[in-house]
Amino acid sequence: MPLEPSKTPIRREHLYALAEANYLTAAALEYTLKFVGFIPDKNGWRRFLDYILLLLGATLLLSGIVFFFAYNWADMEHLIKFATLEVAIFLLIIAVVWQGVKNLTGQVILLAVAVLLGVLLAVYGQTYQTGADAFGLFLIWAILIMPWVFISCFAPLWLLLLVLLNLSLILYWNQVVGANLYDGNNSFLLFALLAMFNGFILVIWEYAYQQNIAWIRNGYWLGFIIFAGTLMALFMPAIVAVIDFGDHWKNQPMQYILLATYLIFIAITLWYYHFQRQDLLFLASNLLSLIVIFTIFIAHLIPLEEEITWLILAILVIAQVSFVTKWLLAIAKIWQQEENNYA
Amino acid sequence: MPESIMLKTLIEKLVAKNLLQNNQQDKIIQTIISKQQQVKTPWFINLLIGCGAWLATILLLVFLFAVELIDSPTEGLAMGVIFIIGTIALQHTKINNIFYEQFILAIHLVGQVLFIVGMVNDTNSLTMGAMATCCLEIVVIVVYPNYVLRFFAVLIATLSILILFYDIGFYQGVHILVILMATTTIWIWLAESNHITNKIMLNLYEPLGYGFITALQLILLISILPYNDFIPPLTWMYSTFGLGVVLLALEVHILSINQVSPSSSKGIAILLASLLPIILLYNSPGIIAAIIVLLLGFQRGNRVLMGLGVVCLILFFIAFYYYLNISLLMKSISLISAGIILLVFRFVFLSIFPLQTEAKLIITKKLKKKI
Repeated sequence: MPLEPSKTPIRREHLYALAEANYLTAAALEYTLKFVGFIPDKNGWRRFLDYILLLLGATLLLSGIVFFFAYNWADMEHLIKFATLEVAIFLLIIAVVWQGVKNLTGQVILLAVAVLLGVLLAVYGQTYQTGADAFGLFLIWAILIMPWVFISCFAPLWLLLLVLLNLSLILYWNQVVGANLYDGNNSFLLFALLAMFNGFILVIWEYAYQQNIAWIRNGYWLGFIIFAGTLMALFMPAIVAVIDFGDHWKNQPMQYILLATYLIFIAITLWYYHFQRQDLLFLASNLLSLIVIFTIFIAHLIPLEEEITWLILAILVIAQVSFVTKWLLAIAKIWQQEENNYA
Repeated sequence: MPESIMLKTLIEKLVAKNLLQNNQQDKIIQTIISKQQQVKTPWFINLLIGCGAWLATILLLVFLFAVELIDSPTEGLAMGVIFIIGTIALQHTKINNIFYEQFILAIHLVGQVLFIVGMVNDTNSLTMGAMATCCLEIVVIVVYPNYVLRFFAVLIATLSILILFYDIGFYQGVHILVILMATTTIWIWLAESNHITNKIMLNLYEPLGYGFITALQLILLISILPYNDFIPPLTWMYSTFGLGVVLLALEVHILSINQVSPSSSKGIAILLASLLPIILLYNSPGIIAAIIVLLLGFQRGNRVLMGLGVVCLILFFIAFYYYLNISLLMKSISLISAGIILLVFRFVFLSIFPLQTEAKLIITKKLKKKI
């Protein structure tokens, strides 16, 4: 394959290959890594320390405020509680307006405002004994911060919103429907709802990702968390369904619907992350969950009291992991070649 | 994210700097073409391979005990040795098949478990078992060229040294181990470019580097475990101050390579600012170790290291405040104070080292070019 040096962007592996082949000395490699920007220069360090100090400082400050209110819950005057929180929120909102929501400092302050709003709601519920269930607090909190989340384009704020909405759903199920996570069909319905909700968000997220929206592209890990949340909501009932295979078919049909949904989800996401998005981490997570489900299924089918069963299972695990590894590395190679051709 | 630099531009730059010879361009392009055909195994696939190998190992061990193939510790020890030697020999065959490699890796791990358990039971001595294990892992690192196994070998060797210290009653030895591991980790990652140009270290430095960092964090997890009879009384302050010295040395190195003299006012300000957490968090070596990993990760542009550093920092910070033996009010005041101090630090830092915007950077570069 011809390589056009003026059109080939340099990658870290290229430099390592040149050093391995002794074209670059250790000192030359170090210089080149810095020149290309793979290791930071003085300005890179400045930015890094700036971010770290800002994020760590804001996190500690916020946690301290939450702890402070937790400690003084009973002793503080209602007026003081409200005044302190409202003044803090007001001042922070002014700071956000001053900094702007597209700036990291402004976004971190907005995150602080969103957290303080939750504290304010909790104080309100405590003071007036509204009698509302906890899910209501989380739901109202989530609804109130939504406009900020939408305008901020800041992944941690989106994560807070998603955590709040998931918590609201779980607590609603627990407190209003009156079912817990181990309560047969009811719990499976909860998992189904969680999977639907997170799956819906995942679809929107992936659509935005395909539109090349910069902050979504930078929020890679938030995308993975949404994907993992959806996968877990389907994976856990699927494990139970495989363990109970055959025994509870009539009593709890919901778990088999979820097992089927899990398999459909795996098929769709394998196709999507293979052919559309081309992401190895998402594929590997999918396949790991599939290995676990398939191994449990086979273990369920063959008699565990037979010694040979353990040997069969061991070989099965090795075979699956080998196959998955080989396949993932093969498609990674194809993607790399496509990328090289494109460059 | 650095702006993409094209291969041609880079080659010209390196030739101009006398870091590359002008007549080597064709060979360089050939090297890069052959590199583009290869794929480096990402960390999560190595994790998948590791998890699979251990799961298969457990199932194989259950099988071996179920068929009652091993009746005594001596038999277990002998079988372990046979498995270890056999798999090392098989590893050096030219068969290039992932199933084969995975299978002998699982058999090798079975061999190690049988060897270690057999040795401890046969000699009736934890000390002997720990010493034999440590020696075995060193040999395995050298003679078994497998990324995943080398990573595990570091973890197992570290655990065996901890057990050795425990068994001989040298409890405070853990601090020496912590400091040595942190120093070795820093050496491995900072000298990455030297390792890449060294035929022996080329395949060793990554698994060992990740192994040492993981082992270091795992040891320090002991410092946040709740009190129980199995953990001897340890003065974690020693580890914190040792790691503090290592952190300061790392900062001096980073300052020097960025042309900031550690004895200048800026250098002294940074080093003094780092002393504060070392003194305040004297009982939390985990936080200092996490800061070291984070700085090291950023210095090498290594996202896996940075991710590990962030996760450990969060974990050890939560543990620190959870176990802090003061009232909730004092905890909240200390958190608020720490937060404000860090934000003030940021303000001071920005005034000492003002951030250059992209536009300013371009102007500065253009000016430098003109000069």
